[in-house]
Amino acid sequence: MAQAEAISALEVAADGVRQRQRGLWSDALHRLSRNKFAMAGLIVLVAIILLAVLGNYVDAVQRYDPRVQEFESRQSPSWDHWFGTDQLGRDSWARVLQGLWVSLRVGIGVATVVLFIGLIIGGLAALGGRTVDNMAMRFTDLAYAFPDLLFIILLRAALQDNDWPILSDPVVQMIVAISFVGWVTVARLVRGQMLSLAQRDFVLAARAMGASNRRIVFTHMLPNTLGPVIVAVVFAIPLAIFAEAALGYIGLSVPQPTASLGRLVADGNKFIEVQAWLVIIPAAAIALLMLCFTFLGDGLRDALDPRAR
Amino acid sequence: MTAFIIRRVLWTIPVLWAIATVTFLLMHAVPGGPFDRDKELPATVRQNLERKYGLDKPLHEQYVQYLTNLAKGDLGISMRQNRPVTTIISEGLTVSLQLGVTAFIFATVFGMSMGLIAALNHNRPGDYAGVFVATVGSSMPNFILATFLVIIFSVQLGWTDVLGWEMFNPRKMILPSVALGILPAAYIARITRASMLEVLGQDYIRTARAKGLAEWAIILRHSVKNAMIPILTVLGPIFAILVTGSFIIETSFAINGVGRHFVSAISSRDYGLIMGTTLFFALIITFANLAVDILYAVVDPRVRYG
Repeated sequence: MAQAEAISALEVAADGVRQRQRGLWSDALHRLSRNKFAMAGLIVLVAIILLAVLGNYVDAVQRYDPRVQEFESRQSPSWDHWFGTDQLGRDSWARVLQGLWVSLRVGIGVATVVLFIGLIIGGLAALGGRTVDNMAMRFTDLAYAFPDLLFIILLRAALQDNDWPILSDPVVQMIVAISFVGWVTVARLVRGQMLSLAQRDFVLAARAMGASNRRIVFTHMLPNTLGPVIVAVVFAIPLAIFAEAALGYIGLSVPQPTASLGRLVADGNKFIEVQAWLVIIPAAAIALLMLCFTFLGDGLRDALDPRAR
Repeated sequence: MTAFIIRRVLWTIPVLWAIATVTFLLMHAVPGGPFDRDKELPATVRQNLERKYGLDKPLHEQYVQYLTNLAKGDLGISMRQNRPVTTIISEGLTVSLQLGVTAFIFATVFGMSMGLIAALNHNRPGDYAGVFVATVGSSMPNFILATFLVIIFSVQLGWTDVLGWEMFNPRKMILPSVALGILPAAYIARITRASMLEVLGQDYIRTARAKGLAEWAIILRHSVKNAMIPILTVLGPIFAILVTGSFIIETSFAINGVGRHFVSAISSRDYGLIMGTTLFFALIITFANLAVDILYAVVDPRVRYG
């Protein structure tokens, strides 16, 4: 009897050890997979991304050309036109899919750019010594003081109609304009993380063992900053999607005839009292997209922050 | 602390200068001039117009002129409307301020009470409901919310008007203020909840309970007061954003505020009006941040004025 108890106690202890042996990342993944909201967000997101990609590159999914006006205008949803047609007789299903694809590219593009700029400037500030730090921080302070949407609008206006390579694509212009005001948060976060990590014992230990600066930064500090940075970058996606939609709403996003979800809402608003679906569908699409990214971001934050346990 | 405040006030000068310079450069990088029309203007008319507004001078001279005017508080002239920008802004400002202040009051009252309720019901249904509303509220763009509100309350129920703004007329007041205030309300609710939870976990709260203080006294006197500090820091920028950033809501409810002037100025490439409104917005945001930093230093004795 006593022996059996001892054995089960041992098993419990062994379980504890096994659980502790799971690494930071697989542990985070495990915790994320148990978060219902985050997983729901992730699944819906994957579905939306698939739909948007297929809808823009596979004719069978897109069904009609989103740019061509060839039908009777403002038809109700039907078997032929799943989301009806808009005020100029274009198929709304195709236009919503095109708008989704624009939103997704802007969101993910901004997140990527912001990640790189933030890592570089934040890293430089933390590791480059006092002068570089002061300069970089004054610079971020300045960028922080700019009124966000106004500068996105100005920058977007300055970038339009150019014929430089890459930058002539309106979606790239949106990404550049939004990233210009978006990198500050990530840069500050990276700097703060790096500065506090530099004081930690394991960095001191690595230094005492004679690790080079490069090794300390890349193998010891960088992986430890990644958790909060990933969370910040995931939260940057819905913000970028919001900015793009807001600009589209006041007619300053990608030029016509390309559809932007914000533009679709603004166009539909004119018929809100008679054909409400013209505004409900794109509005719901934006809301759903942002909600999914927010839930995923919340889940990631809970999963990656060991203190939250 | 005086040294800190002086340094902080002086710091606004380079900030404003940088904003003015970047705005100026961006504005002149925008393709197309303010006198581009569908129908081409005669060359002499165009030249006269450009001379009148100084657009024929070299860029650096225009820049110096622009900064000198700014230092005198002159935000320039709207080239399309041929009126000083300050006049145009002050016309729209009354409405923008009314809308912004109403939305701010709504956001503060609604957000803080939601956060308080959530914190006091920690890990109970009230908490989950609050967190859910806050998450949805903060991830829903305000113009989308405006759209849904209009569909429900104006189109379906007919309780409110679809467009317009009028102070103290609830039919025209409620929807724009709620649509504008819900995002900051959700943000305030999240911060209030987190801050209250942290304070409620402190030792001095346990001490207060151990002394046998009434629960309302613990909550009001000991917790809320201390939980206010982080909330205070976000209220300043939120106020600035609400007064300035309402151009989307102003557009969707067709309200003639400053934001709407900005949007129309962009599409008609009215350099003077664009620069003027941007600077005006930047000014408000900069001073709001300044006020918060100083207030923070006064309120929280733990802040070091390094």
